[in-house]
Amino acid sequence: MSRRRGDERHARETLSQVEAPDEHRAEERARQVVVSAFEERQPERVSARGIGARVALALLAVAAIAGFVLTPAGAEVGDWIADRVESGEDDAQRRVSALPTSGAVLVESSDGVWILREDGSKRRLGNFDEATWSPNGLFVAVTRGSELRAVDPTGGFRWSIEAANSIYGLDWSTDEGFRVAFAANGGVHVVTGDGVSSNREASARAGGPVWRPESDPDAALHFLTYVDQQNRVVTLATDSDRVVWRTAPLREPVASLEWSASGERLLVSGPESSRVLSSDGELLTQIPLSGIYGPRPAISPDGRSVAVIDLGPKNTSLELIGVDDRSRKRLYATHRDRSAEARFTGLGSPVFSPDGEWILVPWPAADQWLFVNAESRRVTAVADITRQFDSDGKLSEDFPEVAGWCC
Amino acid sequence: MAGNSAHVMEAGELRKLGPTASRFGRRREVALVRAAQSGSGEAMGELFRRHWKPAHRAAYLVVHDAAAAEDIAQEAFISAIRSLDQFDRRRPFGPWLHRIVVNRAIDWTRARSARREVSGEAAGTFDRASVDPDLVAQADSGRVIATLAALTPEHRAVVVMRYVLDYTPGEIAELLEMPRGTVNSRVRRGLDILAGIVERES
Repeated sequence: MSRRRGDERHARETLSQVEAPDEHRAEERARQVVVSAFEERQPERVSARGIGARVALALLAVAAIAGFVLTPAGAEVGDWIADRVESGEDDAQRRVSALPTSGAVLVESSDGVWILREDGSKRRLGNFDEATWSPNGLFVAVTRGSELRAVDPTGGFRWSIEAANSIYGLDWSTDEGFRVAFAANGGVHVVTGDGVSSNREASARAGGPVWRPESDPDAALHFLTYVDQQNRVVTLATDSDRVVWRTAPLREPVASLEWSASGERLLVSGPESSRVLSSDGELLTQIPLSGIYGPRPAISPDGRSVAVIDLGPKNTSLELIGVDDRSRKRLYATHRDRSAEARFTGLGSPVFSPDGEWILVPWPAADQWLFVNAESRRVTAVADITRQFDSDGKLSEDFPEVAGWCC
Repeated sequence: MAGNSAHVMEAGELRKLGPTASRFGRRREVALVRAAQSGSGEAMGELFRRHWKPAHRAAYLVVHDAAAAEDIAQEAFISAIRSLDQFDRRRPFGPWLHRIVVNRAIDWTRARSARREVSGEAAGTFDRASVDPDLVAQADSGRVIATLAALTPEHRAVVVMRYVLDYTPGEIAELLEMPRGTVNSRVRRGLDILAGIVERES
């Protein structure tokens, strides 16, 4: 390693250790001030992207690529990419030839939403912002700005609705599959699975909504979990509009919610810790997380373990934590001698396979996916992920994101 | 489906948002800015959560004053909110905010130095003795702060943008409107200073 690179690594490590005094309280004070300032602002109505805007974006992207190639600044970007992609598993496969277990993976790339099937075949569904599977993988709900659309796995149109504001946080009910929940404009909304009607269910903030999977689909309970304006986790029976349970306000803001596929455990993650709640909302365990707003943890389908990415000072690692016994099992760790880069650009948020046997771990810096066996620790790495979910060769800086691994 | 998950935060790599926020995807960022422009408080809240920490830390590393850093980062967010309608959504939010933060931090430090100049202290340099000793003693990072104090605020800003916010020298030159050679020399000087911490440790 050159002296210069060693110095740069040291500079990053050294500066990453610096914390401003009273950081957490400063953040809370600032948040209140910023929220107040935002509420006083008169918003400008913004329409969804039109065709013209999309063409302009495409032209901009082409120009940006040309700039990367031709300009000195572009050369820097090239250097940066070269620095990052030199890490990763050496014996990675060049393409996804097959998933290690059954199911299909939904991928959101800068080029749109894709389906990756068990046999390694891929299909691009279209240029959408977010996507989620229907319960049996027969359909995919996608968003584009304020439009919610249901498509089949070939991209065929089924239905769509238009909301007044941008839609995010999609989730398709796991029982008979007749409801899709989403967040928009400060509220949780539910649209029936045929796209006929949409009702505002509750006011909410980031963190949800997610449907609680039911062991008996015929019960048709339709329990929806979300985070309300007081930062409380709420489970609502949407048919009766009855609150099933509600936590006390949580100290740290909730960043993500995830029900185990069994419906027995709920993973509530904030910037500094994750909590696992029972189906009745009781706290089962709390897991401290390393690094503020690090990769999002994931709960296993049976709810018995949580996969977390540990951002250590020397490297990042994938750890499996037992919910009931707090056992800790290290499944994978990045190379120790690439510490500084690993801390900043290490492993991303893990995703469990439907059978819980494998964990897909994105590694954006290496442009790789790792399939890690939760029992044997066997690792299968696949390289060149960005290119595999890029139909036009523009190679965005965005690393493809895994939106779900379905049944 | 492997559990139902609400993807409020993203894992996609995006260097331009800085190290802390770099795990978030740009498309989600664009969607958040669009939603905030439409009046979504949650979207603004999410943008705040994503960008506050690197912005605040960058300000602190330049000004070395906790209260001032908080004010600077806070004012940068408010300034960004006031200009939100004019913001070009095709551009990433992070560099826009960082530029405001770093320039304000430099201005604040210059003004503080200018006030000291009246009392006979050197302008353009941060006075080590003026670092609040209690804060430094409380923070593990006190030695780093003291070391960085040997640099001018302009030098510190470049070092912070390069090694905390992770911009390339070319991008720093563009954001701070200075020649790229100047950026490179300031980066080099910063590296030398920080390398001194290792030498003292060993």
